[in-house]
Amino acid sequence: MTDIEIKTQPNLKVIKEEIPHLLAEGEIGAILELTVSDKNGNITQKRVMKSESFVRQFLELLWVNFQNLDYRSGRYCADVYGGVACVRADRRLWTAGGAIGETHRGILVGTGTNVPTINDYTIQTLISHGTGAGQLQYSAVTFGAPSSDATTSQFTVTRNFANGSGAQVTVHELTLVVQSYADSNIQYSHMIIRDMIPGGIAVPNGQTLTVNYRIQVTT
Amino acid sequence: MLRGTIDISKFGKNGKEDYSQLCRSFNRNFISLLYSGFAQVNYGLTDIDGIYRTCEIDRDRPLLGVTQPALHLPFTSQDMLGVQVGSSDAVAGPTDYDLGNRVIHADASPEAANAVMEGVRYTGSTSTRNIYGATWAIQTFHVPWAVNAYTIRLYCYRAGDLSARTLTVSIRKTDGAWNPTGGELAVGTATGVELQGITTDTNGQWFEVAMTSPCVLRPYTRYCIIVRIDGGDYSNSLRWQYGGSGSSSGYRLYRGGADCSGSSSNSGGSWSLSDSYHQSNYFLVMGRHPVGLCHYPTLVRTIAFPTPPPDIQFTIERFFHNFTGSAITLRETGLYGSAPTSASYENFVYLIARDVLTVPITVNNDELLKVSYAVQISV
Repeated sequence: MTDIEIKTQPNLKVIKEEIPHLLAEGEIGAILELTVSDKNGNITQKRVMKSESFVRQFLELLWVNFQNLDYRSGRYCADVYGGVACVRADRRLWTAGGAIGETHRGILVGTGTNVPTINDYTIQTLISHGTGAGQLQYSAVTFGAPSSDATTSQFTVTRNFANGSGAQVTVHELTLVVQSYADSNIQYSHMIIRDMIPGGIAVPNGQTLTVNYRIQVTT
Repeated sequence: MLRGTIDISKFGKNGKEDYSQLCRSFNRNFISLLYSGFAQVNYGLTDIDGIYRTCEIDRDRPLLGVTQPALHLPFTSQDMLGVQVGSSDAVAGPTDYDLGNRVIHADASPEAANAVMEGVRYTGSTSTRNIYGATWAIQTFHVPWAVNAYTIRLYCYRAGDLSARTLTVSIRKTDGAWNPTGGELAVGTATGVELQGITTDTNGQWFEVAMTSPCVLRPYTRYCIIVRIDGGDYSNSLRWQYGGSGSSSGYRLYRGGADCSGSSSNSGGSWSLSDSYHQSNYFLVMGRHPVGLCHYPTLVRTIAFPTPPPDIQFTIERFFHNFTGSAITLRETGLYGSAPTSASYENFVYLIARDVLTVPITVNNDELLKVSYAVQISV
């Protein structure tokens, strides 16, 4: 086992980097940036790709949100555990902030390789939080505040996954999970994006995978 | 892939015409409101009046509502949410905060004569704001529907001699603190001869000032009336009557705004507003319905799973009807969404998408137009 420090980065920051332009004209979507770095912060791998697979729960939550529906008229929407929740629009809808080790919201990683479908509601094979074999240590989720250039606006959701398992872990799938509050004030988790990483991305022991989902709209 | 399309159908005497194009312009406000929800943080953005407001996360008051505006909105008109149309072809950009030239809601042709569109008067105990020289007076207000304001009436009386004075009444927008902002939207004046015709009876009377050019006021926007006189003194002044409880715990005399009335002692350099005392100057906005398209309610249609793909979609749609008697040419569409601020327990309205139409669409009198935004996902 390797001792890896999980950094929480609690403060919001304005994204200074150039905004990547991979979306088609008029597309609402996300850019996925994957960076693997060693314990000294040196980048050993970096990939930038278009997030391909928003799934139905995203549209369902947006639908509820646009209409300000309450729990009496909300929409039944699949949660990540295979149940359904009557989602209502309130201020906590879309909550994606997860604390260290939490795997019910924010960015999650997995080893599943099934092609995404519109009806996917959960990660295929979750890599759990920890330092055991095949596990990664989940940092807290952080956010980059909105920014825009001449054509594109974005904000960023970030999570670090540190490998202290003692062996390489390869990530093949990524999901973004947000929460809603349904009747009786109960929280539910909904997967809104599921992406496959072609060929997977290997995270050697002692190194950290940083995942940035940059949610974008283009003009 | 997640994207939007805009589908427009026009229903006229010659049948139905269809237009379709990609929605290219969900904008920074849309992203900012999503961000506020994802991160559960308060976040500042610019509303449709160009006022920077902080969207504040607050229980049971969701972000991004495009329908059902009744609760917590500072206006009653449904047309100020959802699908919008306009006549500007200015290039759309990520930081657009309103349509270039929005076509307002009007459900009838303009009337031939002015009518009372907004205002307040209380016949109980009153006080006066004394207007002369650098001492100006202000009253803020909303309109409940779009209004073409022709004249402003003030309930007032005259003290002393105003025969050599000119009274100026102007309408301006207000900022988040109800202070005047921006230029004069409309202005009207009264001559000394007219001012001398105002009663000196302290019971007062209505005095009407015509705007040089009528100005269109829309629900949602917070306006103010500013009254000033070029000279005079306390003994030779206009006395604009106001009333109210005089107590922050008392009744609100005028609910069309925050019933802010007040005055300035330095020619509008700064203002002292009396919101906490719930007082209002007595005023009437006289006018007519403006020229515009009738905005039917925005509807969010149920989620569908079309075959062939997109795999899933829903549409946000609105019908517009032209009752104006003449043609209106549209060159842009947009979406208004609401979001809360806890500071005043109100929601404010933000432009979340704006598109310039690839082909201008002329809507003739009595024609019906349907504008649909389809939000779609294909995996």
